[in-house]
Amino acid sequence: MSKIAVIGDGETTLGFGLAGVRLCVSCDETNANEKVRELLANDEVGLVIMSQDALKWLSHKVRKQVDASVKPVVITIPGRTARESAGSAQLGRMIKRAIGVDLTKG
Amino acid sequence: MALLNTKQKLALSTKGHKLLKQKRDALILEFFDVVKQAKDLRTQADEACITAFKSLALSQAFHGKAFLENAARSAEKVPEIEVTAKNIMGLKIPRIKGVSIHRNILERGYGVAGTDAKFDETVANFENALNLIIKLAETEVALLRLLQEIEKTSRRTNALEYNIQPELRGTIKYITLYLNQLEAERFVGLKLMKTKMAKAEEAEELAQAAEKA
Repeated sequence: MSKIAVIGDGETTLGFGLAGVRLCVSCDETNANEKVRELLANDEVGLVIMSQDALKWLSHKVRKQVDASVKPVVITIPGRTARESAGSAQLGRMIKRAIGVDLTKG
Repeated sequence: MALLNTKQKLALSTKGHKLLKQKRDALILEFFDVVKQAKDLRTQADEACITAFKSLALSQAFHGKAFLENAARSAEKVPEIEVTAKNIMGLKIPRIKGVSIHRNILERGYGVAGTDAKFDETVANFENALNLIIKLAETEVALLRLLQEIEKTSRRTNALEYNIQPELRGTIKYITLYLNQLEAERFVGLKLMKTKMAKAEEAEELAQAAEKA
């Protein structure tokens, strides 16, 4: 059994808090890096739900860690303001690196 | 001896190369299936999130932020995930199962009085989104693992094909050439010896004939 964590702005954490998620971490541009690192280092967490804005706030290094992390797995969701997702773009990048062709387009 | 050894190594590496190539092809096939799934799930989850956030905004306008935060803290059943492993071509892929995602009204923990149907809907929307996200998480972990494995396997096949096998072939060529050269030298040496011996014999015969005469 592992826990689910949510990280993002206040709205995102509030919404998933209503759905019952207990580990809600609010962050902003200044402390996103540390908070995400903390979550990645936490053994009890199996799944991190991250809003797209929080992903934007991360430094390049931490974002790379997030991309490659399997336990906990990090899923980005469109935030309250976003209309389309960055998650598929992230996936496309990884696929291109491994196979050489981007399969998510077309 | 060294020649035999290298030949054996080459045969082994060819075999390994073939196997690795097959493994890579199988992984890529599996990968295509998962990509399709992930794409569908991704769009579904995104849509669910967007509707959830919309209804959250409505509820917030109606009840105020403090009330919502209060309700969020009073949730009774906490959703968790269970992780088991699945095996594809010697690659362990986790299967993630959500536990107690969808709850009934009592399990949600907040009071029925003072909330309205819109609020319930908001919570249900978020539960729905969470459920989809957990499913998405499973496929995305599988994708990540498969990607890493494909990268590793193709690196290995390429190393075998473009680095190790040519090296072994070069060694074999060198050794065979050297051995051939040695043999040729010996052959020439023997021939020389033979002609010398033949000449000596002839000379002896001549000498004997001269003695008789």
